[in-house]
Amino acid sequence: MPFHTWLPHAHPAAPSHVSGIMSGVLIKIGIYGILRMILLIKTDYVTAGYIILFAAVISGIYGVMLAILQHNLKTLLAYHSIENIGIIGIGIGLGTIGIGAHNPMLAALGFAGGMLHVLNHSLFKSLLFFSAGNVYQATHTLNIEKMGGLIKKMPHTASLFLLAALAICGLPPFNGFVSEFLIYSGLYQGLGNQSPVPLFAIIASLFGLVLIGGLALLCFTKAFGIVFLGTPRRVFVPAPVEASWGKLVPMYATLALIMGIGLFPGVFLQALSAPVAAFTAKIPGAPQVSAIPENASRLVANIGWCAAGFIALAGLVFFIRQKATGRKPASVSGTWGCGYVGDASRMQYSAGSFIRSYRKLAEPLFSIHKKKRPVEGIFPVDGWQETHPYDALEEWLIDRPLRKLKHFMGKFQFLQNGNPQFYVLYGIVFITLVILVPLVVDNMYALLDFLNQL
Amino acid sequence: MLSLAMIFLASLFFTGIVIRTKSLVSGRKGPGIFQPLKDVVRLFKKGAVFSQTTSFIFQVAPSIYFASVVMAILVVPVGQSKGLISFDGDFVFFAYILALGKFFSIISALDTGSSFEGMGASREALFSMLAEPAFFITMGSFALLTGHTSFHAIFTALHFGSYVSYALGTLATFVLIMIAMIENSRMPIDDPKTHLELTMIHEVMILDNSGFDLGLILYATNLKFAMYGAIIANFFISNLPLALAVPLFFAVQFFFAVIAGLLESFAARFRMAHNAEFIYTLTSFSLLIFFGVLLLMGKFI
Repeated sequence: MPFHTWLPHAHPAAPSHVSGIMSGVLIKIGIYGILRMILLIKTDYVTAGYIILFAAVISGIYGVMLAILQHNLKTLLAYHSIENIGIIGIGIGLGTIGIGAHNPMLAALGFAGGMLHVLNHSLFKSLLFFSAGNVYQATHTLNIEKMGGLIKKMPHTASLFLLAALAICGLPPFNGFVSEFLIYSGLYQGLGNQSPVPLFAIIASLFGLVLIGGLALLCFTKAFGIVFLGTPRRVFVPAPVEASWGKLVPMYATLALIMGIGLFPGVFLQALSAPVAAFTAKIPGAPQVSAIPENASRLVANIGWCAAGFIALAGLVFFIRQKATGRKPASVSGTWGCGYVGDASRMQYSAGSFIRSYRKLAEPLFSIHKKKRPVEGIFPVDGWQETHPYDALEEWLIDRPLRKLKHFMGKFQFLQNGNPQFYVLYGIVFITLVILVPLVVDNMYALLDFLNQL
Repeated sequence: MLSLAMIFLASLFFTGIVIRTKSLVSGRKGPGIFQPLKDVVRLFKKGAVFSQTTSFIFQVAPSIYFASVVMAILVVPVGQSKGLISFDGDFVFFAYILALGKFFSIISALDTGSSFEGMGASREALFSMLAEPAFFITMGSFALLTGHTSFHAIFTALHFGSYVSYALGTLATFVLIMIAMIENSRMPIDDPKTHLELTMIHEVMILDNSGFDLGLILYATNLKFAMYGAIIANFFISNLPLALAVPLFFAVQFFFAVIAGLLESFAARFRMAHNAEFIYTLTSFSLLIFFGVLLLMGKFI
C-alpha cells in the first residue's frame, strides 16, 4: 500500500491506450512476482497469507476510499486499480492460507478468484480507460466537474463506460462478479470449514470486501452520472462528437470478452485449472487430478445461468413495458424543479456535492485541503468553495520525509558555489582522505595492539 | 416456485397493512389494504411524461430495477421448499443483484439533471453502502453456525436450542428488519410521507418517473418488503412441515407489516447527518451475532 503513490500521477499523464496497458499488464507484474515467489519459497504459508491478506484489505479499502474523492477521471480510475489489486490480493492471500492450512478447496477458490480477477480487471479497466480517452478527446479535459450530458453526444462511449463500470463494481451479470464470487466463496469456505484459520481475519476481510463493493458502487455512480448524465455543465467548442468506429470496435471486442466471462465463467475457470494446480500441488496429499474442485465449477456454472436468466428477465420486463406503453401518450417536458423552469444546468448536483456526506464521514482519514469564501453579510458577494483531496499516506510517508531530506541536504548547498578552484580542492581533499584514512586506521590498530600487550 | 408465489401473494397486501396500521394508530379509518395495489394498476394504465434531459438510461432503469428485485426473490426459500435458484453462496448473488438494481435507480435519478434527485441519489448510494456489511456479516455468522452457505441450507440447518441461539434469532430479526427499512427507505432513515424534496431519499429519486415506470418502481418496493419479510419468516418456520409453515409465513409477514406501521407512527426520522452513524451501528449488531455464534460453538477463548 504505501508504494502506490506513483500510480495516480502516472495514469493521467499517459495517453489513454497506454493507461489501459499500464493497468492491465504493467501493474500486474507485481502480482505475478508475488505468485512466483509463493511457488518458489517453502515457508510458513499461513503467516505469509495473513501478511498478504492484511496488505490487500488495507490497499483495497484505502484505494477505493480515495478514488471516490477524485475529480480527475483518470486519477479516479488509477485509484481503482489500487483497489482491484487489493481484491486480487485478498484472493491470493486466501489461497496462500489455504496451502498453509492444507485446505485444497480454500486454496483453489482463493487462487482461482485472484487470477480470474487479474484477467477481469485488465479487461474492464482497459475499457474504462479507453472510454475516458474518448471523453478526453471530445472535451479536452479530464475534470469531471466540467462535464455532463455527454450521453447524448457520445452514446456508444457512454454505454461502454456504463457496462465496464457495472463490471468493475462486481455486479452480475458481468465478469467482475464471477471472480468476486469465487473470493467470497473462499471466505465463507474459510469461515465454515472449521479449519485452523482464525476467524477474525476472515471476518475482517469479508467486511473489507463488502465495503469495497459498496464504495465502488458509490464511486462509479458518481463517475458515470456526473460525466455522462444530466445537462452539460459547460459549453465545449467544438461540440463533443462520438469517437470514430476505429476506436469503438476494439472497445466492443473488449466488451464481448467481459460479457463472455460473465455468461460462460466455466470455460475460463477450466482454463485456470493448470496454474491453480501448480499451487494446490504444494499441499501434501492433495488430489492431483483436477485443481478446480468439482463443486466449484458447478457453482460457477450456476452463476453463468443466473446471469443469463437475469438478462432474459430484464429483457422480458422491458418488452412488457414497451408493449404496455406503446400506444399511450408520452409527452416530453422539463425536469421537475419545484416550479422553476429556467436553465438549471448550474444548479445540478456536482461530483463534489454527490460525495459530500461521504467526505464528511471519511474526512479524518484523509488530508483534504479546503479553501472557501462563504456567502455572508448584508450585501453578500459571490462565495465559492474548493476542496482538494490529497492522499494522507502519500503526504506522511513520501512527501514529508522527502521534504525533510531536501531540507537536510540543503544545508550543504554552500559547497556547490560554482568556483572551479573549490571543486579542485574538494578533489584533492577526497584523494588525501582516501589515502590517509586507511593509514591512520592501521596505525590506530597497531597502537591498540601495543597498548593491549602492555 | 412455492416461495415465489407466496412472496408475490404477501406483496399484494403488505404495504396496505402498513398504511392501515398507520391510519388506525392516528385515529383514522384508512384505505383498504389493497389500495396500494390499485394505485399501481392505475399507474400501469396511464401514459407518461419524460423530461427532455433524460436519455435511454431513464427508460430502461425501472425495468432493470424491477427485474433485479424479482431475481433476488427467486433466491429466497420458504420453509422447506427451495427458491427457484439455490446454490452455495447464493446470498452473495442476492445482495449483488439488488445492488445492480440500486445502481440503475441511482443513475436514472442522476439522468434527470435535477439537484433534488442528485441529492436523493447521493444519500441512497451512501446509506446502502453502509448497510451492506451488516447483511453479509449476519449471513456469514449463520454460515459459520450451520456450516452451509446457501439460504436454503442455512435455514433448514438452523436449530434453536439454547438461550444464546434465541438471542441470536432476536438480534438477526432486528438487523434484518432494520436493513429492510433502510432498503425500502422507510421510517427511521427516510420518511415516505414527507412533503419537502430536501428531506426525501427514495421518493425524491423517482420524482420524474411517471406512468408505467412509476408503477413498476412502486410495485418493486412492495415486493422488496415481502421479500425481507420472507427472509425473517424463514428464521422461524424453516423446520416446520408445510401445512404449518404456510400460515405461519403469512402471520410473520403480517406482524412485520404491523411493526413497520407502528415504527412509522411512533418514531421520528433521524437527522440526515445522523443516519450514517445509525446504519453503522447495525454492523456492530451483526458483529454481536458473530460473537454469539462463536460463543455457541465454543470457539471463544
